[in-house]
Amino acid sequence: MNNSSVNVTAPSAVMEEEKAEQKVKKPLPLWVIYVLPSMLIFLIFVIYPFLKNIVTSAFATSNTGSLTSFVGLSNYIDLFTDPQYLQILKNTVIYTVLTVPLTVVISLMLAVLSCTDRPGMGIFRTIFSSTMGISVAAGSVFWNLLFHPTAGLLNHVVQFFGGESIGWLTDSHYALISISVVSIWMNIGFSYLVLMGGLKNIDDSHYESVEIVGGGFFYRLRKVTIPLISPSLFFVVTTSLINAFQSFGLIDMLTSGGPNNSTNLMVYRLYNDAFVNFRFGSASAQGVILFVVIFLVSQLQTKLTERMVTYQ
Amino acid sequence: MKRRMKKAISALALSTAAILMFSGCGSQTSAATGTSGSTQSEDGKITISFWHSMSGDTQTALEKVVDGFNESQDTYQVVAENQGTYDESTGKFFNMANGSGSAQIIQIGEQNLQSMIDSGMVASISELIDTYNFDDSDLLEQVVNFYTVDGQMYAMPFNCSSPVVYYNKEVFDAAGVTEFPTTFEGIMDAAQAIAESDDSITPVGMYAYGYALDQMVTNMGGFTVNNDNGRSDRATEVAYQDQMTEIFNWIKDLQDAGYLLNYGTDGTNTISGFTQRQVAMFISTSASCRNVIDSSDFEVGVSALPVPEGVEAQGVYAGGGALCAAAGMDEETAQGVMDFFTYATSPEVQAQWAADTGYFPICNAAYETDSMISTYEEYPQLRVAADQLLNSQVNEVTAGPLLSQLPQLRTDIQTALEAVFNGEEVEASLQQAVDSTNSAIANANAGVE
Repeated sequence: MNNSSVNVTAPSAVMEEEKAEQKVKKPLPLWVIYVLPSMLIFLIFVIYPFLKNIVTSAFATSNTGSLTSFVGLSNYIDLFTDPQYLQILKNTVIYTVLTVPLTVVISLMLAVLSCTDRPGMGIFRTIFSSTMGISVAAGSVFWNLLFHPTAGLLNHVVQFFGGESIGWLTDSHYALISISVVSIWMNIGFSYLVLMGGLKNIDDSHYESVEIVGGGFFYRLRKVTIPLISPSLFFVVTTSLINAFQSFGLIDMLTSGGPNNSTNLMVYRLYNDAFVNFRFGSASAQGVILFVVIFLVSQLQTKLTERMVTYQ
Repeated sequence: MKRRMKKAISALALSTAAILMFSGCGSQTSAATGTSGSTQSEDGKITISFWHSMSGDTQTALEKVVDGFNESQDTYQVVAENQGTYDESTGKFFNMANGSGSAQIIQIGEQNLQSMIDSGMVASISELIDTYNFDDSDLLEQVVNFYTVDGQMYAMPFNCSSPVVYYNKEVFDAAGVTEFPTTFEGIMDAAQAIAESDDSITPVGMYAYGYALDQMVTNMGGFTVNNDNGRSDRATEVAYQDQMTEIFNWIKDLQDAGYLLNYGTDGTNTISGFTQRQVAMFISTSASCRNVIDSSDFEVGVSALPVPEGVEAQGVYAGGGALCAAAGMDEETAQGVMDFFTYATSPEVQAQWAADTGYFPICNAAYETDSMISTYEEYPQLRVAADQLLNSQVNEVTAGPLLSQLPQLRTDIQTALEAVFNGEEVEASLQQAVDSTNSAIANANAGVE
């Protein structure tokens, strides 16, 4: 999403160039041929389905997906007057707020701690990035065992310390938090790896300068490390945000949106409406809403953080 | 220079053509008219693709049926593929629009029947039965009734199950409850007795299971949806409120008394809680009967669904799964599909299938086979689910609900029950479920051609 906004100036500049070229009857520029293959795939698999999706959202559909009658905005109106959908929007926002900052902060911490070249650090790096190699399905099965209401390890630990066992996934006060914990755990691997890459690119001379000035650990973190890995941070935050809004696997595997819709998120509802209940019109409307939400959020995020990103 | 431009132009033309081609595929004009031709495997056999939703031990049992058929003749090769849950598999079937690679036989759950009929992508089994002289006289009447709509049967009965109560006999005996209660009130008393005799176990484990809940409505004599469960005319709204309120109140009472442990919507966790002696009873489908019995180191009792005191149990509708055949098959393939149906519904095969799983046979003769009789001697529990259906009254209530939004209806009831688990009021939670399902039905009905 943010890529397109960053590049927004490029196509228009190119178009002006093209106009100028046409005036002097120059042949079609070479960039057309270079861009064409990716443009073609993009058109067929992104732009066309996207447009089709917008059209479908204004129709009632049969259960095989063919458009049967035009209903205008009524799919949208139904959604925004449906208390369940409003709750789902709220859940998605809460989930994003719970997971994105924590994922980024924790992986940044781990990356900074394990960036030194002490012997044995490789083991930690492997451990910290290992969740990248775990699929959502396998991770969910594993966590489901931990969360088991009666036989799960977590409740055994709670009971050992004299607490009442907790319905991690069955109590609506805890379920979304439990899901967020698993999600953070799953996403740390990727964020850690990207941030680690950023850290490794920082030239030692910067740190030497800090030492000459006599700055401590936090001074170094604030003045050197974070500004210099800001492009990686920016990337991690953006992709995490988009991922959070598109979360599906964990929900499907662990809670099916329950209890009482407390973990039902936008994409899970969309999936159910499209592929379980075969209401493609409503599902398409939800797709458009999801697009608008992600677009606005990433625009906002870009606007807010753009100035803080520095490139070496 | 000129050559470069030519290249660019031809590339552009190609891309335009490709886009047009793809958009042509996208329009759904030919959804119901496609034909699935026969495909031949390397050894000259005609391949029949069979999509199913059986996993784990049940999948092994199903593969046994398929292998048995493949070995019994040389003309056809049935290829069984697990395509996820019934709902997922149905969705994929719709998306394939009967194109190449789609299934000729697809296993559906009872909740997918109306959607399948609406799609126009499945053949009428009744017509196939007439064309290929299939003997359907021995199929269970209750099951045939469920899958028959307006005089046409749309799915071949195959795996039939009903929800039952599983209980830990040792714990019940220790609490002095020797006869498993048949009423809500009786279960409440039994739960109290268990709680008093053994504080290491919670009397009732429960997960929100929409299928069991709507079967309980049927058992109490109520319609799940209006227009006689959608059988006299297309259903437009839900009709389960009275019975469901009673069921929910019973569950809430159990919970308030501290006799209930809530497992969310997770059936697997409920079963493992039961086999590890953390709960003394739970309600689930009979399909997992063998699995539950085999993984418990205590004696497992199985009983029919309870009803409130003073209500006569009507029995259940024929839940479980059945096999649909794709519309527009060529003659050879259709013959093969019917041969497979003949094999899969034959008494011996059904008896073995029932013994391996917990589904019960869908033809009368299977109950008379030696293998079924000895299985029922060894596992009398398997008999309970079958009896529950066989003893059901045959009337419009037990014909069962017909609704394209049945999956949605069940999800909504589950959500409501989970709300009650989490302390919400019964009335308000159910009202939300009713409103949500009704608007989903209206939305879906608006799209029916």
